[in-house]
Amino acid sequence: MLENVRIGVFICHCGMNIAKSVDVKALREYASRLQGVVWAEENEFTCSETGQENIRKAIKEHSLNRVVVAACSPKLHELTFRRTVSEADLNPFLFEMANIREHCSWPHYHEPEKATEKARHIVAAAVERAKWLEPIGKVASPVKGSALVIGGGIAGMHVALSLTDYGFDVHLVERQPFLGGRMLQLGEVFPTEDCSTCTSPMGLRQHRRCLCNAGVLANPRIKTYTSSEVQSLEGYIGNFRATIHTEPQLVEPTQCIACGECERVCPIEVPNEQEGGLEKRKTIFMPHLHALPYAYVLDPQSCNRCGKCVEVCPTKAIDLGRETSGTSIDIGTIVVATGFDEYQPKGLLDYGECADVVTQQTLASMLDPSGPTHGRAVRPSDGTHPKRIAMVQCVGSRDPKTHAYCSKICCMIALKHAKSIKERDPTAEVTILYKDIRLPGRNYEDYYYDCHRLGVRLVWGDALGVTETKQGLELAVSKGVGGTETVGADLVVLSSAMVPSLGTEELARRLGLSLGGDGFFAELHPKLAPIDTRVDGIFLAGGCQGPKDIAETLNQAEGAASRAAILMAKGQVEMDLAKARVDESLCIGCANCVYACPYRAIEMTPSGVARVIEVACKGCGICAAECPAKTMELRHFKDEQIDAAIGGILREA
Amino acid sequence: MEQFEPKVLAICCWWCSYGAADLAGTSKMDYPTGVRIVRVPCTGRVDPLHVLQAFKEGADGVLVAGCLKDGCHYVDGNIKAEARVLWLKKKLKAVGLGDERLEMYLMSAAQSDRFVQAATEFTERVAKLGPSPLKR
Repeated sequence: MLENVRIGVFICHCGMNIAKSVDVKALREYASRLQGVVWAEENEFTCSETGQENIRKAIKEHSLNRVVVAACSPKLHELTFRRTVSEADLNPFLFEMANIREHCSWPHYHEPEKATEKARHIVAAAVERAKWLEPIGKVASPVKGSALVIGGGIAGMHVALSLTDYGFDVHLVERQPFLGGRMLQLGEVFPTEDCSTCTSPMGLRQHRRCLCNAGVLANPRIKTYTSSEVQSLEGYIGNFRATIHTEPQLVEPTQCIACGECERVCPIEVPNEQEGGLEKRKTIFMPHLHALPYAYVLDPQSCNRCGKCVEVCPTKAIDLGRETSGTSIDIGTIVVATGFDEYQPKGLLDYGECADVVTQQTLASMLDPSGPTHGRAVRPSDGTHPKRIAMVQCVGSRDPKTHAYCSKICCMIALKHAKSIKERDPTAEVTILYKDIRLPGRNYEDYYYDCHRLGVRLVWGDALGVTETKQGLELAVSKGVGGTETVGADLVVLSSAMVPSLGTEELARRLGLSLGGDGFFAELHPKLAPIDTRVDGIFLAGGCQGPKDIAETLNQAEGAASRAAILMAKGQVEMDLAKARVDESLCIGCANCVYACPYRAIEMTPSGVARVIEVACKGCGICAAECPAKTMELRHFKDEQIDAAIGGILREA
Repeated sequence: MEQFEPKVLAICCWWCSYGAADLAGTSKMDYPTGVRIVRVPCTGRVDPLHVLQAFKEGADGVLVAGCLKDGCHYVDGNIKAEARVLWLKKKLKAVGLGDERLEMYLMSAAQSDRFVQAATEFTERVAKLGPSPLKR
């Protein structure tokens, strides 16, 4: 405790809000008698400019070195008064607030005597605590001017491009051998129905086919790591170090000229997963017509190392002996944009058993003009053209047995596909089985009317099962009080849920992020910090945070880029040092605090004692409570400060 | 005999129950005046020694109010606090103070009703137990 504490207590009437049930005059007299209090006064509205001026004046006149304001909740005006006292050259942390409105005069307004008594306890607690308060300074830490973007889909690429526009360097890490993500697998995308192959990696700036010369890959500020994953992360905001693990690039993308000689001689064929397994591909293959980098990829799992491709490659781009590599990069900020997967509804409605039950992703590949069937819907079982198509909504979504959430975009996908099919073949019969049609986006409702106009049949109900008959498939439907119906179909398309992409849990562990109950990355606050994460300096963009359409994804990507750019543009983070502190001379080196800290903000020094990384600490104080040697403390909520408040509030008054 | 009004210390997390108590006040919801609130940044900051200090200073009961499961502002401080409270309840029972004078409640900042209910129920429970034996 500071010697010669000189506390000033300022009691607010808050008009009648406090004065109606608390005897403010008696409270002031009580406060003035408390040990350490050299000045006590009442104000009509302490937060008013007059009230604040009175505080500043009293600090000077009475040489106050502690200020207590007994008024509303600190949630309302703590920051106001911290600023007030600092304007009178008092450290802002030498201020304490006594909440006698929300915690006293309001809930106990009908018991004025008891309310006044309780107010005395609250003021006594603040005065006792004030005696133990200590000035707290600020800490600044530099922020490196480069970012790591994890995920090379539409979200990640957009973040990367935006960050370079802001003038920062970007390391873009993509697990696949090529960029593009989910959008690469789509044909037309709503609501504009422009070809996703044109809009995906470049926004509207560049046609994707020109991307070999422009865009992400040609941007000198973006370093792209394909076939790569983030293996580990250490450090803190502004000063992260990530290790990137890259699978062997058996075909060097910068040397490959995409002549296709290797594919011609390759003897092995496997199903092509990019196109929903509809077609086969060689072991060495071009992953997509518009893959970027536009280079052949060798799948090491199915390769028998015959070496024929190596022999024919004119640029000597293939080397079967290449090994995995690791790179360490230093960055200031991180954006996670790892996207989503389509739920594979194995066992539901014969999916996986009957070849003609497919998901919307497969149908999207079929309807993509540059896809495996060149824009034609086909029955996978025999390759014929389906005349009757039935779609089932909410497969794996809005069902507590699988995923309780709404996947948000499946209604639009189904209507978009239905519309597309009917426009190409007006005689096709398209039925959509739905629970609710949800189209909340701008211009999205138009699809609903378009589908009605085109004769798409919308049936409300639950799918009971699919049976194979000689005439095709039969989808049994329960329509509640409307009875049951059997819908005949040549192709059944399931609108399957969006789920977190494979490896999300592992990545969360590596980065120190948390996941929501739905398995997607959790934002810091759903409304007030929708892009931030629990780790300062790491932000989220796109489907990795939950179901989103492309427009929403780009909105968030712009936001994430901007959040990261703000930090990097400032070049440093400055924060109050109301954080944990360890007395190294007393530390017993048990590391309990290291394990207890949710933010990896404590590390063990080589000499075996704990050290707090102040910029990473968020001031929860969990470490201080866990420390068995009582050597870890949280500034501003030290043991003696908490104990003083407890003593003050419980003492007879 | 006048009815015994217990002194209850409510150790409130800044991010949830402190706000819930604020909201209870704003909504003019009634709860016993014997409930006195001390703020901590997170219930994970609460050391068993703070609770013992409260009993030493004359509390008849101590309630610790943290965020809902999965709702902790600091990831899992509430879970750690709950474990410490359960541990300490056993110790309090062993030393003869009883395990009913300490309780952990979980709530969000919007659940003023839950705060009022916790404050009222806990006060009633402690009133039945009578004054803390440390004061006799």
